[in-house]
Amino acid sequence: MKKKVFIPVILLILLEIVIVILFYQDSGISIRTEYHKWSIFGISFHANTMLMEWLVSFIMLIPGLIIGFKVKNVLKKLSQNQEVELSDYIPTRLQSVTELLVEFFDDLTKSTLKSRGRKYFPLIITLFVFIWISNMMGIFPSFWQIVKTPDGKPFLEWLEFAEPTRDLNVPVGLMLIVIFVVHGSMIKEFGIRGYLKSYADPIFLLFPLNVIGEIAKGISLAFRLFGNILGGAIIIIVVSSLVRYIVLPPLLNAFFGVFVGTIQAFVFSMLALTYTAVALADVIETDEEENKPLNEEDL
Amino acid sequence: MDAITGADLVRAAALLGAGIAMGFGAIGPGIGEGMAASKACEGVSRNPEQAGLITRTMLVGQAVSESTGIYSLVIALILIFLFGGK
Repeated sequence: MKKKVFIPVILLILLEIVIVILFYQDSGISIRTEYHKWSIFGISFHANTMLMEWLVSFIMLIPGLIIGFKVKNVLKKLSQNQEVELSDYIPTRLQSVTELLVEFFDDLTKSTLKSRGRKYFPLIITLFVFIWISNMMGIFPSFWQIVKTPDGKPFLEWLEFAEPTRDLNVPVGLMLIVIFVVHGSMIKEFGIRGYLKSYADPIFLLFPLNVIGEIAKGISLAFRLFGNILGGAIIIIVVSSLVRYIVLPPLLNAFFGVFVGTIQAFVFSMLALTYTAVALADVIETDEEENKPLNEEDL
Repeated sequence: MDAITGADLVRAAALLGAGIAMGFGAIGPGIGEGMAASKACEGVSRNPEQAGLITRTMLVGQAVSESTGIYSLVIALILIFLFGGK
């Protein structure tokens, strides 16, 4: 690997050390509990969370656009019988990493959902990438939070480089997407009668238990992500302000930001996949018995 | 020294409750995750070529068993931020 990759990483680490040692005084512990709100059509939005989500979506778009245009270009040349250079075929570093990720999730969905894997693959990988980049947002320090205005408030108070998943609304929104997809595909596969019948699974008496089970699934999915990310952020701030001369904050960020963030993103998408697989278990089994081939057109 | 008012009692109870919730809530997930990790270790040592699949399954299982701990964390945070303030 070339050295120029390491320079920004080292700079970031040094910056975090300097910021924590200089600015995290005992009074400097602050975790946002109130959000600056934008009110649009009577609905209030959390400004910081919205901006961070847009940033994450924008970062997600970049590799897709770059690689998509490259592949499209080669296909266009091929269809017009133009000469394709060797350099067009050689994948760049970004493309290799993206292909690795896509292949991993493709294998995962195919091994779990068998012939229907391709249908749910885009949802699962989008969930993973979105949550993962969201969780990574916390490792960038936001300088404008440290500079104070004369009345003691942070400069640009409403803009902070915080993980959007730290706001409960984002995990709940993602959870609603997953629940909608799982129940929607159940209704689509089994019909409304079959869907309602699945609640009275062994006997009719267990109906309320099954409903509570479904609700608990969603709540645990959302709160797991929220609790892990918020808890990690609090631990980073508290520990790095308490022992700021001994434990270097990059180590805390590496564990609670990068490691836990990656694991939680993976767990969220894996659980979404598992819930879908459990909901569609009967259909997948019958597909297996009929040896239904993988539907490649779904991609 | 001012007299202890009802609000002070509520605050003390909230902070104490947060500590108790977190402490007791961490017991179950700790034991559960440890058991999952030990079984995964056994599995990997018996069957090293399946290490990737076992690790993946272990992580998901641990995350599921962790959720009770996360619930207690959320409850502790609610207690601290809603009732524990001055």
